[in-house]
Amino acid sequence: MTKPLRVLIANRGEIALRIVRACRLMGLETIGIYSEADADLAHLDHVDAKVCIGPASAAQSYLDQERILRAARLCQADMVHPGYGFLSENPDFAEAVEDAGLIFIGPTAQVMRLMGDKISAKKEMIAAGVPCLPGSDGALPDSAQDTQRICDTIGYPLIVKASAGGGGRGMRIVESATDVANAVANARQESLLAFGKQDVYAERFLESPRHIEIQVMADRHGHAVWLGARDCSVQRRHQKLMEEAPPAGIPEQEIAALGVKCAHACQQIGYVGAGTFEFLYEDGQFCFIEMNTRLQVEHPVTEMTTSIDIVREQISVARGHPLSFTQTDVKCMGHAIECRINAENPDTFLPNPGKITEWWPAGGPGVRMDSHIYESYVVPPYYDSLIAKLIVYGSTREDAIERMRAALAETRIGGICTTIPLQQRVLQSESFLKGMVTVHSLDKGLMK
Amino acid sequence: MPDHNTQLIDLLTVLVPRMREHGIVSCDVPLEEGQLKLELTPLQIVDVLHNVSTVESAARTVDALSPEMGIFSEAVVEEGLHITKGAILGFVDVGPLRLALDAPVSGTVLLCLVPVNSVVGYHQPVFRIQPD
Repeated sequence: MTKPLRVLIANRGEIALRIVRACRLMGLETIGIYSEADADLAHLDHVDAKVCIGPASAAQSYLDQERILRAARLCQADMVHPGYGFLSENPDFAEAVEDAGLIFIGPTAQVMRLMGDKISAKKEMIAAGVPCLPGSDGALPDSAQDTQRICDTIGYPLIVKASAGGGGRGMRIVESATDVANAVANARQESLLAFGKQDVYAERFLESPRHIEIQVMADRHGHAVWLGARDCSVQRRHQKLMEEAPPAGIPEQEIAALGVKCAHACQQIGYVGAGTFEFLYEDGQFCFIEMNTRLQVEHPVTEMTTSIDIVREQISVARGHPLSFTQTDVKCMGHAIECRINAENPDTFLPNPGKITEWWPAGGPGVRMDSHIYESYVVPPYYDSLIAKLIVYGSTREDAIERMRAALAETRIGGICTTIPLQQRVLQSESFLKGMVTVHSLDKGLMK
Repeated sequence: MPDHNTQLIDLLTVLVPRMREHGIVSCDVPLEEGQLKLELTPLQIVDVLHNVSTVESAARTVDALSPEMGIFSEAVVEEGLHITKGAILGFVDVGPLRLALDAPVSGTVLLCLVPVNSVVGYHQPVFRIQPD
């Protein structure tokens, strides 16, 4: 009898538990790693081996490649699942895992680098026929005159973005031609400080877009499929708060046409694993913004509407197996909504870590709660404030909304503030009910 | 004889914890009919966990922690030994490095919590010490 493969889970919280569950279904052994502040994480009771890798600080634990690789060696891991966040999109880590003779559950470092640089990613997407925003052809030149000319051609308003950007850093909105020089200089400076690179590019700025994304899966045998679209427009400060699948009010054939292009792009770039193409959608046009080369927080809404276990499939293709289904097998049925429940003040969005004094997760037909918390668990202040994902499935969008309202009302989390009251407000707002939420709606106070 | 047995059990009930507390591993006990040689074997983990299960007992012990994640490669003290603060209790190998595991307090080594040559995590308890 061959020894089961051992998967080291280089993450924490709900996603670590989610990965443990997928591994168990596949008969794989699991290794949990944790920081000194995380010894009480729920998934650690369900792993085959566990080891504390460092102090509470993420930089010395979940972001410390050397420590994670040492844990992998000591615990005799065969594969590493990075989850999301932390090192999940770090090509150096993916490369180091492979160099150590282990399997990285994700795309190759080369593809991660290609898609991590927004300028090279956009070039690849244009070549693959994926729609992009009109913008500069690559990085803006050093010459102020040439930069001005390029920006004038794009038209105003436009946005200047760092090629290595993320989290809103290295970005400037330019309202008119007179603002170009300052905006480019500031974006370059910020990008240099934040990412060590000063390359910036410019593209058309959309005033009221929705955030629509396409989930893809690809294997090492040249197969790539798309698994439907998600609408992630309910955001505050660039952070998603609620997601749903499929997006309301966008014709199925438009999404299908886009999905086919995304799957084709995966084949073009040699993508392997689960990934997401992110788009802004305005006036019936999709515009590519970036690709996330990892599992997304919101993957469960796609799982609910397609009945495909994305994490399980992700591990399977990392082992070299072909995808277990073809594009024609993928059927998107019904409607799913996810609420990210964060330990935060629902009005100020300030983190609110602390001890959970009461925990009653919602249940019933069509309700899924992905969470690592339990009564007496202490939410530490060191990491992301996500404590649970509540996902509901209904036959229609209206049905799913009703189920989500009931599930949020049933959920009890005592001892800390959560985002539930805000999500309850969103579910009552006219713009959400009409499917007209844009990425700015929440920040502009349009959903009260 | 029943009386003698009862007295002996009473004596051992008091004597053994005191020996453990002070790191004494053997002693001779004079009896009416001769002499009893008492040698303590190292405590088993389950025994110690049982013995320190009360809040009061647990509060009195201190754990010596691994300085890093690695392999606990060697224990240089035995259970029952009295050690002083800063004494080296064992070593943890981290790649080519061999890190000393120091005693955080003076006292008696109650037990070793981790088998030699096994993986230890960062700041994982390796020895339990009864402070002086």
